[in-house]
Amino acid sequence: MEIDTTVSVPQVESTRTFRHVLAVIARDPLSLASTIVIVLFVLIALFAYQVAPHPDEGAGKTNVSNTMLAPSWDHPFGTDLLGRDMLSRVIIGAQPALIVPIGVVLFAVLIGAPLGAIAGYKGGWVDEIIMRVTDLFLAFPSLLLAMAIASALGRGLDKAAIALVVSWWPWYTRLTRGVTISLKERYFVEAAQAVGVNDWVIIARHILPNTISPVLVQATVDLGTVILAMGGLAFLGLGTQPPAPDWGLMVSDGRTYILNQWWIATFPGIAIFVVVLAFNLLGDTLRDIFDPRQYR
Amino acid sequence: MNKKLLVLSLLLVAAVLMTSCGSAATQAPAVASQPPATQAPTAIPPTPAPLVLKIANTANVTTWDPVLSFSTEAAYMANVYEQLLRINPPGSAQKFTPLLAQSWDASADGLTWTFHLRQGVKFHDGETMNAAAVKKSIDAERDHAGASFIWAPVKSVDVVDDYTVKFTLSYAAPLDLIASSLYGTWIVSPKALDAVAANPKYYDSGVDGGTGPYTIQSYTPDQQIVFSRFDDYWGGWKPGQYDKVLVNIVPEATTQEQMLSGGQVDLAERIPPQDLGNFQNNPNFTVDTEPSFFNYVGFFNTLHKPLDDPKVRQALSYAIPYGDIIKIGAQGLGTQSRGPVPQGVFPWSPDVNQYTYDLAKAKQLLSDAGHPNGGFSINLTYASENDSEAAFAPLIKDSFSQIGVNVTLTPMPFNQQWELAKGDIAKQQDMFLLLYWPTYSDAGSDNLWSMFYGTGDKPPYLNATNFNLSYWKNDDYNKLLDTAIGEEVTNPTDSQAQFVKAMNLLVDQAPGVFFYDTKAAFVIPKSIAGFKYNLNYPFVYYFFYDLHPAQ
Repeated sequence: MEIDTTVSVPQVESTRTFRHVLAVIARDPLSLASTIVIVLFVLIALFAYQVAPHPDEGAGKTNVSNTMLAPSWDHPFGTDLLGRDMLSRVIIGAQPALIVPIGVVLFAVLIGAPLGAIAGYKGGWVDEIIMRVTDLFLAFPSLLLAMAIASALGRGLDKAAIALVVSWWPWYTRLTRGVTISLKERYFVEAAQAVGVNDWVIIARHILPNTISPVLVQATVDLGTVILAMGGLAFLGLGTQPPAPDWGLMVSDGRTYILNQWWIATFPGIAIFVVVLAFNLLGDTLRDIFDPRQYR
Repeated sequence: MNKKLLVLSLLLVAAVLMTSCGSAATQAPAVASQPPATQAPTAIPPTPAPLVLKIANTANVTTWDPVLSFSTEAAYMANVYEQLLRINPPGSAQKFTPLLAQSWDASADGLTWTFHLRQGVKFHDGETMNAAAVKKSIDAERDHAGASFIWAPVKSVDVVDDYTVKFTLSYAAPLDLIASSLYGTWIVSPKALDAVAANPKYYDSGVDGGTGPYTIQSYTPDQQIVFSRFDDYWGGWKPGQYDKVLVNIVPEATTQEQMLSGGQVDLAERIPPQDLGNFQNNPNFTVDTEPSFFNYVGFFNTLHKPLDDPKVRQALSYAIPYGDIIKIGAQGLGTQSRGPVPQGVFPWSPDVNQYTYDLAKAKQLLSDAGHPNGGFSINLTYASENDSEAAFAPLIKDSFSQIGVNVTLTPMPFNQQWELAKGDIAKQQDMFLLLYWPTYSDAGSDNLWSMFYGTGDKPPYLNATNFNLSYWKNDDYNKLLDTAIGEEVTNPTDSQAQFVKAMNLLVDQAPGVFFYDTKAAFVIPKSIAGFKYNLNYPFVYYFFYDLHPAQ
């Protein structure tokens, strides 16, 4: 794409350029595959209504005459109890099931990581206050806390997303703080301090970038958990509101039919499984790339 | 690292595919809920090995206290405890089976009831069942039973002699029906009543004080209950009846199905309705579908506009796709209701009207009411744990949208749905889906009264049961119901006529939608005989005493 690709300039290339990331991913077939899967799913989610064969059924319109059809050419994923095309349901369900959890984890990181870096770097009473607050949140199981917040806020996908952000950010604060405390003793930080660099600049320039790899790994693992938590909230009536589709909701709806109408729970289940696995594999690769100790 | 993950993921895929494709399901999973070792070696009789019946049941035990019991444990209570009498299924030659009472009579005004007790009945703890024990039990139940309200008509219980008890009522009521209820009617050993008064945790370990054919031998919460037969049972024992009954508490119907087809249990209480076909085609099983005690009702909030207008409610009642709802929600196991009384339960009548599915009529009525193209929205709540409601609620939404009424579906746990319905009127739901059943076999003084009898001077007109979730108060209806309930004992014919009038008024005014009466389905292996279904005790499922291996 760029003009200088053919010209090899002998210079120490930064390992964090986008091009380098792409190059590493392209070298490893597994991470290439997972990247393609994620990009594909995200694209499908964004253009769900254009892609789905029966967008109205996907969104919830019932069609009783087609109830419980097995997978066929007309309905590759079969139909559910209310005769809705499962392929369309899975495609449109990707929006709440995939895009929203990505947003939830992103916001949780954006809130949690800087707070953790500040706590770890500043120490003292700042650390005490921030960490006691996170302890307060971490005292409850994340899903339980999310349930409590979601039921206090009311029903709806947006409120469920807020509840999940609120209950997930403290994990990143604690993680980042731990990493920051060990980074603080490193020479490059001490050197920066010695030449009089402002604390905030040190946190932003030297600490945070070095916390990316553990946060990234945690975030990819969490994505799976958040996708499932989203489904759990939907099951309790706190997340996605039926008849709108949601992978987690479809799995729980389909579980009573698993013996004879296996396709109802299976296809959304496979979708969850593939996406979570892809995120895990990609997270693994990204960690290798971003790890400052590993220059390839 | 990557490779390991890949292998792991492939294994997972394989596992998912295997579980999902195993539709034949001849092999049960390794649930292995075999009884713990405590059960076998304790008392080995010298005679042949004890006959054991294994049952999978979803019913949990919320309490072993027979007085407080008002929940799912009724499935077991009915095998351990007995009432004075038991009501027979509709169509039987006799209306009642005498249990601890041998005979009874009522005065002409229905205010005095005398029960003559069976002699020679022992409680499991060795006490003798007599008039004093009956009085003590009923008094405890009137005082603090889970269902103590059923005894509301009773003014006093008196011991006439050792085996005669007299009930004095403050108003006429069918005491025979009340005394045969599944809740708050068990006759309990005085020793056990004293013990639990002294120590509220007395029953926790699974002891009992009943007279029934079986006694609780051991109890592992949420897992297993072992019943063994009570040798001194007054009804006696015939060879071939089961010595022990093991109940595995299995919450998932799908798991129960696998346990049954895999031979881990002899009987299952719940099979997913869509899988009944698997057993219908299997020569080793009979599938028995029976009318039941339950029905689905949808309450319109008559305090909210425009649902305060009967024309609008009638229009919406015409826009309910009853056939599709039965097909989808009940998998065909249901019949369209005639009012709120399920078929087979007093005072059900074929003379009560029904709505048809007629969108043209619905549109006409809406425009008569001043809403030519609908144009309003309804918030419908249902219990998220109820699979049937979750299945058919979207059908209501789609059908209403065809007459221009927009529906927002709001599933929530039943408790929350209930709280919302009793809260601030402005925030209440517009439509409430409910699965209802009467506490005892009298839907006149239960269903008709509890769900539609408005009391009080100002909204929301809730009555003592809080189940009138239409918040509807109609003086004509109340008057009809008062007469009908008052005459139930003294003038049964007129009472029935008044009930029918009341039900037709209800259907016409449509404060609620009457969806369907459910049917119960039982899958009985051909190797087990003696199963008798009793519609009046839907939560008992199996009376162990009736069952024996087929010869």
